[in-house]
Amino acid sequence: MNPAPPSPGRSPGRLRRSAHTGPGAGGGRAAPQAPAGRARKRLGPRQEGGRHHLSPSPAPRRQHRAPSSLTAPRRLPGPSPRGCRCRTRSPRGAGPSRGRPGLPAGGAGWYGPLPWRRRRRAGGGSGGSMAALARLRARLPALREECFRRNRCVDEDRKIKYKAAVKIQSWFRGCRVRAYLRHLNKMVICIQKRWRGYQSRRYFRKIVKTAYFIMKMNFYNEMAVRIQKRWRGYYVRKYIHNYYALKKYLEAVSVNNEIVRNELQEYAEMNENERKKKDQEKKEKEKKYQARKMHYLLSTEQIAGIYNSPFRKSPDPMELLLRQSKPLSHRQQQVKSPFTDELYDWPTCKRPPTFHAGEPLPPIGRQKPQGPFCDTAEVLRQRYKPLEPTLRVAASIDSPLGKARAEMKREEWRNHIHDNEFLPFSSYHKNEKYDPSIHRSGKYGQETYGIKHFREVQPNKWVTGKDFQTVSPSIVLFEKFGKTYSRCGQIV
Amino acid sequence: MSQRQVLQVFEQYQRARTQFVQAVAELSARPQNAESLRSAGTWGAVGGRGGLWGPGPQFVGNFFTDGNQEAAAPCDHLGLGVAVKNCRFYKKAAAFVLRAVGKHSPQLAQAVVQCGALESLVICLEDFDPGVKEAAAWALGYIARHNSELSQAVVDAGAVPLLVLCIQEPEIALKRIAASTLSDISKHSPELAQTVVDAGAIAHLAQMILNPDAKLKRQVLSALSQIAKHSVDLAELVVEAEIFPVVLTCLKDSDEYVKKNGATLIREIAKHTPELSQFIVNAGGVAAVIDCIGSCRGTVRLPGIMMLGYVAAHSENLSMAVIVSKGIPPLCTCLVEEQEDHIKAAAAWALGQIGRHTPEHARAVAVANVLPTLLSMYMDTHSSEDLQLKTKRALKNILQKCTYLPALEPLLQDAPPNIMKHIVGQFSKVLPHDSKARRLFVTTGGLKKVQEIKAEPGSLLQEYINTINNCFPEEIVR
Repeated sequence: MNPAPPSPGRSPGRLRRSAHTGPGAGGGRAAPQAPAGRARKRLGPRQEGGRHHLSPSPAPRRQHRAPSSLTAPRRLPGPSPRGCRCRTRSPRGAGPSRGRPGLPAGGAGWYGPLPWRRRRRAGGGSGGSMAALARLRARLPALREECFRRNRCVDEDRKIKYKAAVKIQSWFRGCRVRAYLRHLNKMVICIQKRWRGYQSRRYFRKIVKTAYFIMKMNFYNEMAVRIQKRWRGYYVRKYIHNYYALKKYLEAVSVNNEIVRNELQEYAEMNENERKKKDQEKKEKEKKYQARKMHYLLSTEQIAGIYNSPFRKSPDPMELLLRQSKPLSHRQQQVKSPFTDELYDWPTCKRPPTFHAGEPLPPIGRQKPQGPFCDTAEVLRQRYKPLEPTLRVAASIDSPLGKARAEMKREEWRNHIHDNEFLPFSSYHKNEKYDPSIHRSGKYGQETYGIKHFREVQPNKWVTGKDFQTVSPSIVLFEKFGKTYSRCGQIV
Repeated sequence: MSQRQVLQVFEQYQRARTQFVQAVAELSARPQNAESLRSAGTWGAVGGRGGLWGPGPQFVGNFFTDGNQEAAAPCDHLGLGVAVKNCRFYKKAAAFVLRAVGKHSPQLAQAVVQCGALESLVICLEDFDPGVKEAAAWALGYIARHNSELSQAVVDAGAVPLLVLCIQEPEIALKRIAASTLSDISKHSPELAQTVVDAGAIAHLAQMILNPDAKLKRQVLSALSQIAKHSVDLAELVVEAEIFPVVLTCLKDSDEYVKKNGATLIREIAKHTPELSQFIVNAGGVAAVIDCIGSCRGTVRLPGIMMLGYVAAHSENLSMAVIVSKGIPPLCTCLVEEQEDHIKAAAAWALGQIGRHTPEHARAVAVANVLPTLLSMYMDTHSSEDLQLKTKRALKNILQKCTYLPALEPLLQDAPPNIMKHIVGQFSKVLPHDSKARRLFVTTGGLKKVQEIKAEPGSLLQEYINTINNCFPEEIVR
């Protein structure tokens, strides 16, 4: 009669319908219209609202009981022990199913023992059975009412109870989740705390190391600065700006200047003497020549010459000269030799003027301790002379074509996986054995390590053959976490 | 018999011709006859068929020496004639004409070159007669004097080795001319000088420095200085010919121009590098030059003054060497005595170079009491631009290093603002640290003068004045 699979919204109605298919079929047929209508009415909002109004849907509640009796007609939920408005405990007959399969244990806990079951147990012999039958028949008309009343109560209760149950359950789940989250949070804080502490300590150690290093380097630098300071001062004062050497040099320069001045003075004087001497000699020569020419003015015994006046005390020097000179005969004048202006034709000074300027001056003290003997710029130029290859050298021996070919060959060789040439005919490959690569070749075939698993297990090193066992119990509250429902509903 | 008569007639003709040309040559020696000679058409008569001969070239030479720049055409005749004719008189005279033509201007010399006279002249240089060689060398010298292209043309004609041979000849006149020609060739460019050096001229020139002849020494020293002036390498080559210390004797010569050329040579050598200057100082050259300056007057002093300036400019040690050799007093006398502005400018420049290195140097210059002279020259309106510029620079350089306050104080009175800035700056540097100087400054009235200076607020001068005022207590400043 009700082959349709129960839809969650419809199930209460359907349940009711199924409930009445048993003995109260006739009444049951009439009944479903009203409660069904009621149920339908009630279904309306429920249906329309869909499942959204309700907290965790009745479906899970129903499903909870599903495994035991899906297809069997469901029993009514009995009147709840508290909160139902139309609570009756009056026993009723005509239990729809006798010998029905047992209710699930959970369901049985909700209700008390069923009245008719109780009744049945309590039932005695056959005599009492006739009376009991009469009693039962007497009760029959009120049964339907009772039944309806109970159903309605139950229906009315259901929603409230459902909602309350949903509320309670949701709150509880929330508490559980929150507790779990708090727990997680605490754990995570703990972990992070420890981890951060570890990291910071590591970082701190690094900082300390670098700070120490910097301190050391500063110290070294300072010491180096001190050394260099002293050294540079010493070097500059000794070799570059040597004050005492400069002083000595300047003194030597003065001395040298004096010598040079003296010598030049002597030279000038000598020149002057030369000139004077030359002039004098010239004059003498002239005089002598004149005397030779005028030798006839010489005084004789009888006649005194003009230069030998009797009134003078002694003869004039010209007279003496005339006496000494030979008479001049008119011979050719000698050609003036072109070599008269020669270098060493000086009358007084027989040796050429030499210049000795005393000791050579002391150096300024600029002996560099060590150094290149060539000009620095030249040395550097030679050392770092860029290569200037000739065209023959710069161009390689092979032609570009040859080079390109070689390049191609190299590339091909490089890209080969192996050097065996591919031979197209299958007869060549007939007897070849497959050589697996190193990755895959192990002693007895393919190694699983590195391909199938990456974790090495060495069973010979295990202490026991058993797996780890949890010693401390896990938290019960959280055990069911994520396991209460089917997997497709899992969120956390 | 008739042959003799015929020959006699011709001899007469030749004699008459020679006499005519000689007479015309004598007449042309006097410039006043040139016009009348020209109008009388003597040129054609002398030139004529067969070219000039005998004393003809003499006449032409005389014709041209007085500045008459016409008719370069005869040069053609002469050029060929020199090569062809064997007569040495002809060659001499022809060379004389070429010289006379070539000496006036580059264009005429170019004309001489273009008509191919150079080859002929070079052939003349190989002649045996020294007179011919002398005339040829002289002509080449005059041609090469004008510019470097003409010099290059002379060098290309192969004259230089022959000139070097000429220098070695015993005749003094030939030596003189050859040296003068080499000097004229090498003065234009380093390449030409290098050509002359490559022909081995330096050694011979260096030997001739000892020669007593004054004119020869002039030319030789001039030639060496023209070679040395171009580059460091050439100067070093000249120095390596061991001219020092013999060259210093030239500075004591009685001839003025020998002294001048000697000083020029030393100046050209000292100009290039500190090492060369060092070498000259070590050889006692500075003392010789200083004495030379002291004994000369006029333009002859100029190269010596410049030499001192160059030596002092190179480094402070050399400058100190100049000071130690008593170089400053002659320079000061030079500055004061000389009339020519360019010599004064050179002396001011040299003093500036000496005094600009360190306070010691500036003090040595300031002690010689030369700063007021420099200042007066700077302020003098009659001074030339160059002199003013050089004195200003010298003053600036010396003042920036001068810490000798007694020498600075006289300058406070009438210095212009740009110089005053330096003077007051120096005071502001020295006074804060020296109490005695401060006292002196106040007592000599320097502080008063400083107060009287007007300066724009915020300018450097004002800052210096403030620094000075801060050295003294308030009441003295007011």
